[in-house]
Amino acid sequence: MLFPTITFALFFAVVFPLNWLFMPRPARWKVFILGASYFFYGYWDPAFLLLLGGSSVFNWVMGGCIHRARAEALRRSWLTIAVVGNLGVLGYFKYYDFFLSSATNLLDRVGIDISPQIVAITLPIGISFFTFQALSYVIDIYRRTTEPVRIMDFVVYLSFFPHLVAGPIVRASEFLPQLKERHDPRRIDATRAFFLIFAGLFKKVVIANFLATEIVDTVFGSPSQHSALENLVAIYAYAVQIYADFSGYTDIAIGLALLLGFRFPLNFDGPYTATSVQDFWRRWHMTLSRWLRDYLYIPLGGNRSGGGATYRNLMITMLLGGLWHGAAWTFVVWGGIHGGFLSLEHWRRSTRQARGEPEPADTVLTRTARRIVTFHVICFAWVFFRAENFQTAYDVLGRLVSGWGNPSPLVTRSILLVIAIGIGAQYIPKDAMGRAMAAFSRLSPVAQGFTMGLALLLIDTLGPSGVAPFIYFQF
Amino acid sequence: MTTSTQPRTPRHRRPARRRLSAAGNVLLVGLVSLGVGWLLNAPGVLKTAEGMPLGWRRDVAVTFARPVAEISSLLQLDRPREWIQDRIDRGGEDDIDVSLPSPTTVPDNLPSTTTTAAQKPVFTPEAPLRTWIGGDSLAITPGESLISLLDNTGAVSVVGPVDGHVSSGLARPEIFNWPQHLSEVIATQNPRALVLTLGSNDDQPLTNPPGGGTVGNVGSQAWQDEYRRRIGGLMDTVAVDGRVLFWIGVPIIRDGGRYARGYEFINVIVADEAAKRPGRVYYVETYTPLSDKGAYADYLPNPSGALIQIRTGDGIHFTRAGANIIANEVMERVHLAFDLESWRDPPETTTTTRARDRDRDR
Repeated sequence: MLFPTITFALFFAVVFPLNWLFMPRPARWKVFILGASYFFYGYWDPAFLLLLGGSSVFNWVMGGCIHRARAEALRRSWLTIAVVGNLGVLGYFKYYDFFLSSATNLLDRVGIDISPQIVAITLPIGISFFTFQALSYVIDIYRRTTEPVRIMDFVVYLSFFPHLVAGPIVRASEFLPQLKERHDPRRIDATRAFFLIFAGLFKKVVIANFLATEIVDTVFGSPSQHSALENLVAIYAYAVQIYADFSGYTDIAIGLALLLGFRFPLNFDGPYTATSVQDFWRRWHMTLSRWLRDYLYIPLGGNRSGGGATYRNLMITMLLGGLWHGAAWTFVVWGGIHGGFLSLEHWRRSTRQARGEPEPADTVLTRTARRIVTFHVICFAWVFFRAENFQTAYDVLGRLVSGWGNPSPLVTRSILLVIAIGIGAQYIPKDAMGRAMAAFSRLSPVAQGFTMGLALLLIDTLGPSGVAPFIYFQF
Repeated sequence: MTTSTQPRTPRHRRPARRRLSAAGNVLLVGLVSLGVGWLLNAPGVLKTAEGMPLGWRRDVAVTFARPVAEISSLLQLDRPREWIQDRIDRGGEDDIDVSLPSPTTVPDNLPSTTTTAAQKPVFTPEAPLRTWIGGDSLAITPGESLISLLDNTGAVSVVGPVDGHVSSGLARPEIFNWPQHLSEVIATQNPRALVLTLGSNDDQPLTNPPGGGTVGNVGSQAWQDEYRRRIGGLMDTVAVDGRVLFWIGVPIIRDGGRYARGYEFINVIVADEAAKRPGRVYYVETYTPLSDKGAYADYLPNPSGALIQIRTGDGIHFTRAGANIIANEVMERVHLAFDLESWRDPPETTTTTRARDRDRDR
């Protein structure tokens, strides 16, 4: 069930009032919300429910085993089983064919023919997200930062439908305490929720779908047949498209959770205003970058050992972060580019500190220059993220050098305007949005509904027909 | 008039506070917004409802959507939508035209011979073959690969990007009317060659037949007769006045049962109708080149022997490598129909003639 559909609107119109009716009785509410979440997930393919249910039970049992074990060695053993089990399932569904075909081709080059049986495995939607969330639970119990909870609470946490299929990655320590809070049906932050939901719909349906259909898919489909300008604008357009697509989804997810009485962490914070690649990762898919930092980079040693170990840890984290996005070497290269630039920035910073040099001046001019450079580094990496294979990525980049002077019919004023809006909107000050929300919240319910009805008119009319799946569903 | 020279202390504006809402009010806001949104978007909602898969859900949706669309039209609440659509060059997008042409080719006027190499029209960089590529979602990736191959000939001009319309076909003209769309393409872009991929969404009952109602039971004689009429009608709409149609058949898919229940009938009918129009319509069979000895395959070895993924995870669509296979199949037929190469042959000069004579003497 996709968020921007009539089916989901009907589903939520039923779930919302029942959610608040059941809320005063937590035991019944949990059964209800679990049923609603499983219905939502099973709507794609009921067979996936077995995987979600199995993952829930497995991780809950592992959490209990880790908590009960007294000897450190035993605790570590249970943790290892939990991590291997989770990554094993993820690896099977997501990477089996990828690694098998890669290995086959590698062996074939050295003259070994293994003729493997490649099986067609359907990737369950959202598996990367709920696996990472489950891992956060067992690892936090191992670290003694989270206490085990009842199975019902854990199953509700893992399957809660607003974050189930494409995040944000809500940690157990962020969600489970909210189950114990008293949720007051008279104090819903509906205005913020509505703003998030409508902003998300606009980003997805109008901006992302428009850019995808009008330039990105066409140019990345056959880059050599398009001019340098078209390739360049398509790269910028993809940067805006993927931001609008993914942040649009998480905006809707955060808004829906707010309407149901739950707070999710922020996932995007104006990523294209970043002044460095490190700053970008503090603003882009923040719940994933925090997850990678806390459960991968720091356990690897982080920057504690200094020198080469820090660069190694950065690269491993980013390469695996790239692979998390998809089973293809292009995603690994994408992660490698980010890891490389993060290492470069780290090296420059540490060299400057070692020499006792002051921080560079922070003026409007230098900040603007850093933003422009960072944005182009990110765009360069997006080429590998979007391209179906390396040849396409090379064609896109090569065309930037060789294709000037050709006509560029795909570069229209509408495309440039939408790209400008997509980037410019990230610079809107937070208080301006806060004031708009405060003003909206003082309107009567009918006026609010009428305003949102007008917003629906704009979104539905301006958006291309049909609903394209969210890009991050495949991850 | 004096002005203060004292530095201004920055004023910290209190953050604007928003009011929280009660659940009942939230529900009211949601219902009002959906109601207003529905009335303002009523023609689009009706079109979406009409395009849903046949069954009780569609019947219910249409039952509700139609009167709301009539009320919206009566109160002129659909005008703002029309106005916006006109401003963004998408006027008429909500119109539904379900009329489909019938075939005009009859056995008596079939050409007696097929096109021969000698009759192939010649195209050059100066006078390129105008080509249109489009169809359903299966058209998109192969179409992009085909654009690259056609461009390499130097004698083809592809009119626009791949004209793909997801979930479309000939079974449901209320979703997308291909004959009408292709008539517009021909009138506005004047392609000489058209590469069309249709059929993968047509294994369902056929709506809007000439007598009204629906022709159900995919594969039944009535279904085959009506589908054949639509295929033939579309071919005769397109492949006239020297235009050539290349029709890409439905590929083998992971769900063999679905193929046998529907796609097999579709491919047979398309191939059969194409055979009735030699030189005008070429059927491009994709089942065999994408199969591993007749069986469905996600991976196939490429020419250098490396195993490459040719299908996406859904078992229907293509990766770039799979798309390239189809594009190559189409190119073979394009070269059968048109001469795109002879412009490369340099005019015979004295030197080359002498060289050839010298070679012959040896």
